[in-house]
Amino acid sequence: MEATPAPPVPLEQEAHMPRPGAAGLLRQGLRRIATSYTFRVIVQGALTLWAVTTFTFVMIRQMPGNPVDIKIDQLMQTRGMTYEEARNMAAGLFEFDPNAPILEQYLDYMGKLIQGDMGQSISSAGTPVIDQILRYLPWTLFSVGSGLLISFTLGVFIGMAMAYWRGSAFDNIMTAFASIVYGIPDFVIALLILLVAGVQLQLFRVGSVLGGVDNDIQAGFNLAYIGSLIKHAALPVLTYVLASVGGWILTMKSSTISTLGEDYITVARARGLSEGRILTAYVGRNAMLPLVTRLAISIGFVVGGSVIIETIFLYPGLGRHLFLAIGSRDYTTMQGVFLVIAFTVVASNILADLLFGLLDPRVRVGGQQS
Amino acid sequence: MTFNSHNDVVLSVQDLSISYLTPRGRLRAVSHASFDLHQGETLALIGESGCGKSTLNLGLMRLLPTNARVDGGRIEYTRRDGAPIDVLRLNDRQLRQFRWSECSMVFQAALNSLNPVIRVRDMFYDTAAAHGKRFRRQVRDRALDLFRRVRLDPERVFNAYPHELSGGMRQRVLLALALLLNPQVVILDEPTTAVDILTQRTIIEVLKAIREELNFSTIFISHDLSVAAEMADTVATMYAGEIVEIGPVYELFYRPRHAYTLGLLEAVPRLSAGEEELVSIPGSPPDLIEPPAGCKFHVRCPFATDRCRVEPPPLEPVGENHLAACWEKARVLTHALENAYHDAPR
Repeated sequence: MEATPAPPVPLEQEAHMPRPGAAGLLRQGLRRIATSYTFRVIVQGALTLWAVTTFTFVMIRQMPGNPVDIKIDQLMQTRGMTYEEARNMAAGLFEFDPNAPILEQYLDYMGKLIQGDMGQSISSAGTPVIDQILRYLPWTLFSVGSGLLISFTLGVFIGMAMAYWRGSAFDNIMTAFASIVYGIPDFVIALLILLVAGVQLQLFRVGSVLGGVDNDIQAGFNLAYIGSLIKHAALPVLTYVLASVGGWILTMKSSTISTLGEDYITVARARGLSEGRILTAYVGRNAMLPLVTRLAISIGFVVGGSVIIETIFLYPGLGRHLFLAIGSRDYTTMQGVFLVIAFTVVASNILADLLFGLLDPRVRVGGQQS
Repeated sequence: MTFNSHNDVVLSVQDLSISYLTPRGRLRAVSHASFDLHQGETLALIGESGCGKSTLNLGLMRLLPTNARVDGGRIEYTRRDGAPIDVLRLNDRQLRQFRWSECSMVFQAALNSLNPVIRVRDMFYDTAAAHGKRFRRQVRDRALDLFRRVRLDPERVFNAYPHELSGGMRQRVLLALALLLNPQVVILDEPTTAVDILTQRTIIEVLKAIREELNFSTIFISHDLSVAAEMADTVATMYAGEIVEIGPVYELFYRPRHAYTLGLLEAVPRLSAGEEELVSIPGSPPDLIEPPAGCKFHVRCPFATDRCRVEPPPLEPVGENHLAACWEKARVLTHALENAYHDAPR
């Protein structure tokens, strides 16, 4: 074995001495931020978004029937252009040079995206994708959002009432109803509403409820316009409610039943608390916890889940816009809508994590109490 | 009123029977239980799991689950001002007032007895508000005082969430919560089973201290006989839903007259145990839907005779304030004295 000369002991010790100072504190602070839960969740979300964006970018360029070639073919046929002319025009429409190296295209695309520029729509030339998204998104948020809110509220109250009166006729009927509607796909419900209630029973004139709003009414903040909005949103909202309320009812019922069996409910009764207080702060709040996560996930699917329903009801939301974009091979629009969908899913999951921490102190994150 | 000669009886239970409706039939969980609880007295209920101790206590506060029925009997409570309360006849509103302000309870599962999503202080405020005490300042002062008495760090615990406290701390929080409205009777349902031996020690010390300071009566459920012996003035042995023996702690432990009490005593390990070994009670508690005829204990009883198999023994006086329901009282006592429990728990 090779004998290494031992270095002078004092020097060695000095080298291992901790050096407190500005740099050390900064490093400590950064480490605390990096290990904080909120920060990790947000970084994770950002990475997911980046992955989705990259994936759609690559996918669209690798798909059979390259959109640029298709557009070039289209232009050559319909407008009688030469290949050169068509290629230049397509490059202008897509805002990228199809012959440029893929990495260059990618960096160009990402650079613009960060500035909020998603390029131009292909099918309606000259319209920025972002403008279209901003135009259609409010319709979807309004209809799916109110559907979700109504069915969540209904589900929570009905489910809780069923758990309180377990085994009663109300419980049995609602369990059957919830299981049945839970099992029917939403587009079947939409078609049934249109065909049975509209066409066969003639409860409403099908033509008058399709679309987003009556065209002859001036847009503005007045009763007639709002009434028209509600009239047209009613059927899609009804479909969303029927399709999702069963799930909320069943989840809330089982969650309430298990909460009612907890010792702290018996203790609360022993303490002489009023049923109202027990219902809200003791049963309700604990039974709601598992539903909050589900609610946030559902919010994430607000945009993506509305494609077929909006198409059936000709509702001018983002889902129908996506459906039309797919039909007309409007790749930039598809890319933009996919990004919006991914963003809502990621954002609502972050929201769920943080909201859950607010409601349940046991999983409260970040601020460790000392 | 039909109260006993003792004028300091705070809780009088007479002939109370409770059953559960089960798919198999009616399960008699408590059968003709009678006892008096005096001011400042500690009554220990001992017996195996499933003997009806907890059902009896839930019945006293009318907290039974919906499938339970009170088949008969009376629960009479005397308030500090002397006014009698017939607990089984209270309406919902009166019952809410009665609970906790007159009779409170520390439950077995301390870990789950506190609402996990609200702070300890809110549980105190809730309880006080339900009984018309809306001055938070006063509630807070009382709570902090109680926390000091049960040896908790008052400020920290008051503002904590349940999950931030250890098991022993939660048990003491519950104890403080039980004393918030200064009740006359506190039911302690196995307050020391879910915690380790050192925490158990602390809780018992705390209990003994505040019992004297605050002067309340206690019903103490335990299957730990040494704890019962240390805490209780009176001990009642329960078997298969019946109180089979009840008497002063010293009497009952040194001169037991029921074979089941003797069996429980013989199953307690002793430090000076020499040749004699621990004797466990053979068999398991009987089916309470179809209980055995005669004395319900005869199936497992080493003293059982033919009479025990057919004729149920009545609960008879065997000494001062000492009652037992056993046909073989004399043989049980002789056996107990022969095997003298020199170092029985004091």
